[in-house]
Amino acid sequence: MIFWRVLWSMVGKDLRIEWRTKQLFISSLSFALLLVFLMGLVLYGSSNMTHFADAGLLWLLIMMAGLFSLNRQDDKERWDGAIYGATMVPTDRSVLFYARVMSHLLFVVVMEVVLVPLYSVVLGTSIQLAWGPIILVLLMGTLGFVAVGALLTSLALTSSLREILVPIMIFPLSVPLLLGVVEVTSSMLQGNWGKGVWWAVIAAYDILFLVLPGLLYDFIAEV
Amino acid sequence: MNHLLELVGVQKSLGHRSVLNGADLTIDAGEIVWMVGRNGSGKTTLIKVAAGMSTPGKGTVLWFGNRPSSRLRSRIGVLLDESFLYGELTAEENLLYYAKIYGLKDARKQVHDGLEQVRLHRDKHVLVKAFSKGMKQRLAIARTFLHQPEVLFLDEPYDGLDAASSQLLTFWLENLQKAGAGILLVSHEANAFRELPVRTVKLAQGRLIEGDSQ
Repeated sequence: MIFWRVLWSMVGKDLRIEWRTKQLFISSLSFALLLVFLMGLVLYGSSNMTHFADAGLLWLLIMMAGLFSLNRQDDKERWDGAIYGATMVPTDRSVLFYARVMSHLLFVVVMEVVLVPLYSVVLGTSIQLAWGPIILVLLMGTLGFVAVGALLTSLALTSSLREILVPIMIFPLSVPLLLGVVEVTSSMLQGNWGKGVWWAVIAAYDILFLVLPGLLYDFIAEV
Repeated sequence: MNHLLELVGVQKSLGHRSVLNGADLTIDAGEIVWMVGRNGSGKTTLIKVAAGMSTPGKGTVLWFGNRPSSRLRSRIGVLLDESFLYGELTAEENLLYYAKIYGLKDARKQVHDGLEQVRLHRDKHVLVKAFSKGMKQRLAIARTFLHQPEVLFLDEPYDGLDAASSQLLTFWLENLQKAGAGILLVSHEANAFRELPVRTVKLAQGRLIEGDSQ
């Protein structure tokens, strides 16, 4: 009960700050839109792009935009030591991790609502043929990426090299997830659900990076 | 009877530097302990370890006779040189956020009272990033006292306060001490609390040495 109360308070605080400043949303979305138009420009007239390349580009775009905002999300937590105050919560400190995951998930999903249809239009992909399953894989893939991102930004929170460390660590760690979501998305663009093994990879990745940091967070939250 | 706070043989290293080297301390109900020591002697580190924000390398920290736990954290209040506030929230929103985290009943009233006590009720809708150092310190004090902790760790609480706010803080500390709270205080403003009954301990070479009482 206390855990959930604290979790919602933290997520509410994050949303309130983002609603007020719109810093993350505007900067990350601008960055992502720029990438979409650049992709559209360099791939203009490329009618022989495979579904696999389509899916790969889409996921790289989402991850780049997500990473851009992940790095900036902690700025408000570092301002005058707010993150240290958060370690004094009267419940398990893993709540900090889950609040971070939830806030960032909401944020990236809202960004995807703008980004994915635009990507579809600019690059002329056939995403509209399978929106339902695409939404599912987008949610699962985003959840995994956000969870590993929240873990890494927590680990690097007090490091002066965090803006370099997080990208260096996040992409190698995201390889299994990236392979899974690209395979599944590519299959969906061709009108089928994709192989079960790739769904299992995505689900296992999500579970691993949602459960493990929760268990270890007391050590991670060390000041 | 259990001590409110007990440190036994606490050791802590930061990098290769040994900061705490077997520090022992007890604080009982109604006691104010004033910790002195040179700059860099490890006072803030000791506070972080004692407050459960940092794990000791060796030794034991006990709150109310028990190992620090999430349940007991609601009975602890910490004020460090950083305010733990969010610059993009207003003064009222910051306190409401902490009030919700601590599950305070009638949170709005308690926040309103807290803001009034530190004379920030007229600035309650101002973003904290626009506050002066003194205003931020007053709000941080209100945040620390909001959930009425029984053990307080105060690192330079008089820093940036004007004379009226300093007097108010001393008055609060006196009331808390009479109500049975235990307070670990680090301050260079000895004049501000000279009338309070404090026990002095000195941190030197990572150990605490008992000093005089006033």
